[in-house]
Amino acid sequence: MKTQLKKGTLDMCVLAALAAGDSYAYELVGILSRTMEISEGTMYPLMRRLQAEAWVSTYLVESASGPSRKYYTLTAEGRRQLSWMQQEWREFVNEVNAVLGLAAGAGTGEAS
Amino acid sequence: MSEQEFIRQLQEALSRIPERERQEIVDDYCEYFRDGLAAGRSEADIAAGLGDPRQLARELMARHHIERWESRKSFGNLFAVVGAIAGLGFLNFMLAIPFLCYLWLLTMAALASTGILIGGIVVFGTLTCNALFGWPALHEERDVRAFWSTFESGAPAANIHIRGHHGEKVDVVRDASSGRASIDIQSSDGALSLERKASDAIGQLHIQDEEGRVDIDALDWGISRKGGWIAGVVMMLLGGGGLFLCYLLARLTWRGLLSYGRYQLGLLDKARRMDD
Repeated sequence: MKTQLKKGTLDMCVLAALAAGDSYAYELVGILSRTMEISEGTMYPLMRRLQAEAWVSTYLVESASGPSRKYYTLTAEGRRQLSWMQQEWREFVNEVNAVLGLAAGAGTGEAS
Repeated sequence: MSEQEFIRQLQEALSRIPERERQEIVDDYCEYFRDGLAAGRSEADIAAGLGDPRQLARELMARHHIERWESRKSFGNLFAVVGAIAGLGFLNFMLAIPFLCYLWLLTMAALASTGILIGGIVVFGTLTCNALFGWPALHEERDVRAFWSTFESGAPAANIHIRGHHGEKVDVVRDASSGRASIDIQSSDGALSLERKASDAIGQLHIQDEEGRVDIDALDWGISRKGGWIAGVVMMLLGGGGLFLCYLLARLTWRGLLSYGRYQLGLLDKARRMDD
């Protein structure tokens, strides 16, 4: 089984959210928790790991109200990683679906 | 828990990582609290969502130490990694004790191997240098050998036997064909004998009086050049081999340790996700 995939699912989701646009931690938690369950406490250790992997980098944006805010952005390496992960994900889902008989067209062909 | 309390606990638990990095982490969490408060949540709610600051700090520390070890592999860093992993839980703490003993043994073995290797290099180097340049001079060998060879071949040719009235005696015996030679002096209150065995260059010295006896075997402990070279090479091989073995073991150990640390961090990640 693709263990890397299992471990990397949340990583992939964060990278995908960042691919849609630069964001900061609180906003990222908001985006992800709209569609999936995510602990707030997970976010910072996760972001530090992604930074250590050099998949994301940070920059500070001065805000009118109070101190600056840290934004995360995908690096070129991060983009490559994301597309590789998406590829793996699609293959994995297809394989599992095929076994479960859920693949598009497989069910309808048998039924009719 | 209030924001102030959360940050205080986090800061305290992170006291052992560099100031700059600690400040960055604290800033991150302050920012998170600001954003949460701006969204209309209470401090307690945000703090509860973020989890136990001390556990967060332990995890960040373990990650920090592993990363630092990967960028700079020093012995101190390795111990920091062990300590950080031990901080992640009670079982890890219990495992750390035998592990530290093992690391200590490994260190001792590496030091011993290094000593033997250096000894071998010194012996081999000294003998080679002596053979090539005549320096450093190996006095002992030359003197003892010279003494024996003079004794063996010198005049008078006959053996000497002197007897006293009260059991005193002096015997000087040489057997040129076998190479055996000895000097024996005995008086009423003591004895001295210097003896060279037939087979090799090893001499023995025995001194005895009423008080006690001194025996020195292997008088010419023979930095015979060939033997010395062999000993030097054997020591170099032993030391070098030992050191290499230690290096392999150490490599295996820290790889295992890092995998274990990552595995533990992974478990924490998973446990936190299950909490939701």
